Amino acid sequence: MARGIKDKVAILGMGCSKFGERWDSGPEELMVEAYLEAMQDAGIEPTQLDAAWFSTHIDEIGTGKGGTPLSVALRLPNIAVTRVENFCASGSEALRGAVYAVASGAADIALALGVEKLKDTGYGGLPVSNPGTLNPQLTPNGSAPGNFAQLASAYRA
Amino acid sequence: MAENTIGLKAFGGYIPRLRLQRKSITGANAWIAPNLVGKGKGERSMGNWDEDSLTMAVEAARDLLGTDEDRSHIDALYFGSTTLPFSDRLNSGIISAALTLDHGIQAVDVSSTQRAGTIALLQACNGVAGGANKEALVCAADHRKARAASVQELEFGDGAAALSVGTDNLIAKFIGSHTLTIDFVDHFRGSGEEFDYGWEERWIRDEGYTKIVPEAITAALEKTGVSASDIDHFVMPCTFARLPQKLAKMCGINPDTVTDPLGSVCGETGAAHALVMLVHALQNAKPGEKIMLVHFGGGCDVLIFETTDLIASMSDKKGIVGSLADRQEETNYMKFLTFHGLVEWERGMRGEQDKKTALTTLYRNEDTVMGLVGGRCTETGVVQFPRSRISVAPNKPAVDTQEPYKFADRNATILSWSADFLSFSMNPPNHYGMIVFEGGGRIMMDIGDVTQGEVDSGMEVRMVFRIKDFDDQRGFKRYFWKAVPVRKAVATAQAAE
Repeated sequence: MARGIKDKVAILGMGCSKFGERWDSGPEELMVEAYLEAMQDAGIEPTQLDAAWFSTHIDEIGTGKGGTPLSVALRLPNIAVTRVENFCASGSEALRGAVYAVASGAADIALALGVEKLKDTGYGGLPVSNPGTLNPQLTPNGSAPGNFAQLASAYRA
Repeated sequence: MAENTIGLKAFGGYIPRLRLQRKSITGANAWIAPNLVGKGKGERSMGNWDEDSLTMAVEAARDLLGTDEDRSHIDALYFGSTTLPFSDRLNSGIISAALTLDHGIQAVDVSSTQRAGTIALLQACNGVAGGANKEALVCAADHRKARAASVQELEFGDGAAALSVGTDNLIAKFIGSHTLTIDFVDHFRGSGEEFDYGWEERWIRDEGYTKIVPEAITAALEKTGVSASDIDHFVMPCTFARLPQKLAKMCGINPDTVTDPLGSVCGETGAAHALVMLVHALQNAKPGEKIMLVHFGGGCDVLIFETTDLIASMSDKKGIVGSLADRQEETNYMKFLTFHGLVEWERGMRGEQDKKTALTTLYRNEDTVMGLVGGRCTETGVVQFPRSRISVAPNKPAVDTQEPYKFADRNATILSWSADFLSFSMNPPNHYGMIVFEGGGRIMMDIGDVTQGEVDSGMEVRMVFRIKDFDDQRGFKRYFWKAVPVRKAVATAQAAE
């Protein structure tokens, strides 16, 4: 029977990169910024990390695929990095993964880190991308605001 | 004669809604082409950015076929056009897929001459007369480009017509025909070239039309035994004013029978125009009337038809008459130039997106993409788009119970929508929304042929086959279905005025 994670896991420390256009930084620098702050806040050393969960959504203009962008940017010790992606909820997926690892006893301390660097496309807003090979043949060439905007007309109707 | 047992079973027509006002063209170009200012009268049809000869042919064919899902009676398809979207990919095969015709049909592209439409029709007649086919569908469409400030830009129009040829339930009997094949080059378009190159008009009129057409007409009359004075409708595309009347008279045909070349309301639709004018004539014809169809170009085709009592059964067709009534005036010449690719315009970086089409994906989803065929669960009756192995039915997601279910000819309404200026569109704002179908099923899809402020929830829409995306890098066009407003009420109101 499922027992959940209540009272089994604590957050030791956290860090967050500064908000802004951040023309000065790539995703690697943003990751380091948040990571160093979190590690300092927690008062732990990299060698104490047992595993890491990493999330990013639009990898094609950010970090590229896989878990390696995190381990390379942070020069992590030889630990497993799991990359997760679930649209805007990607960050909470990373946190959940890390929490589950600790709750299960597989890790004593796990790192959860999410990053997105969207300002390297040359234009504002979310970047355009091709969602597979069938969807572009069927679905409108819409935008996130355009899709969310439909809630208003559907509600009114 | 054996030929008398074959003929036309039905017709359909399509002229794009947008009608570019010619004075918008001549006004913009008066500084460089003052000689054309006098031609700035009337309007020409103008396909929207997502229309081409193929999409227009599909619309004309759908007008002909109606909403009956069973199209297995069609066993041949001919497509006549000089603006085929593909040089090597069977264009009529794309039409066939969009119409969900059987794979067993014989589909043929006819091109390379203004007579492509009449040649397609003749081939269909021959195929049926010879017994090779039972019922052949003929489509003709053209979407020609012309240089800015040219005469052609004013004279051309976009449009399509469809006819079906068979042996029973005929609306018009095929009496006979005659063809002359003569390499008279009044104009040409080299392979891969965008524009026509034409010779002097006087020579075309005097040495071309005036000598070649009467020879073909005389031969056709002799061959069929039809008397010139029996012709009730003389149908001939021609941009020379009063020349058809003169040619008819030369052949003993009453010049008053010459039908409207539709120049002032549509423009000449190229290889489609003979069939466009034929459909128009059929919509105005009474039973028992003889129609002579003439098309000049690399020789001349002459076809003679005689309407039957069943012509009256076609009154529900939109045809060319209905298409012409369903119009929207366009005065923006820049929009026309942009649609025709004659202006390098700033699409923005979002317009740079790669539109490569995965052909494997396209093929394994052929009826989904090309025919708008979804699925219906044989256990629950729940319909959905696209089809999937596991049914969408919330309380019974049955596995492998889906049968094909066609959406293209079903009534639908808009549930939710967006007019999006952020995403790239050839005609901003980019309209799309959730379309809900009568009988179930919903699709998030593009909404076409609308202007800003026009779309609203609850609006009735119908499905049309259109260009979805251009892949300029590889020369590919992606087609899919879009929702457009049902304009029946508008057309009826205009007709009533």
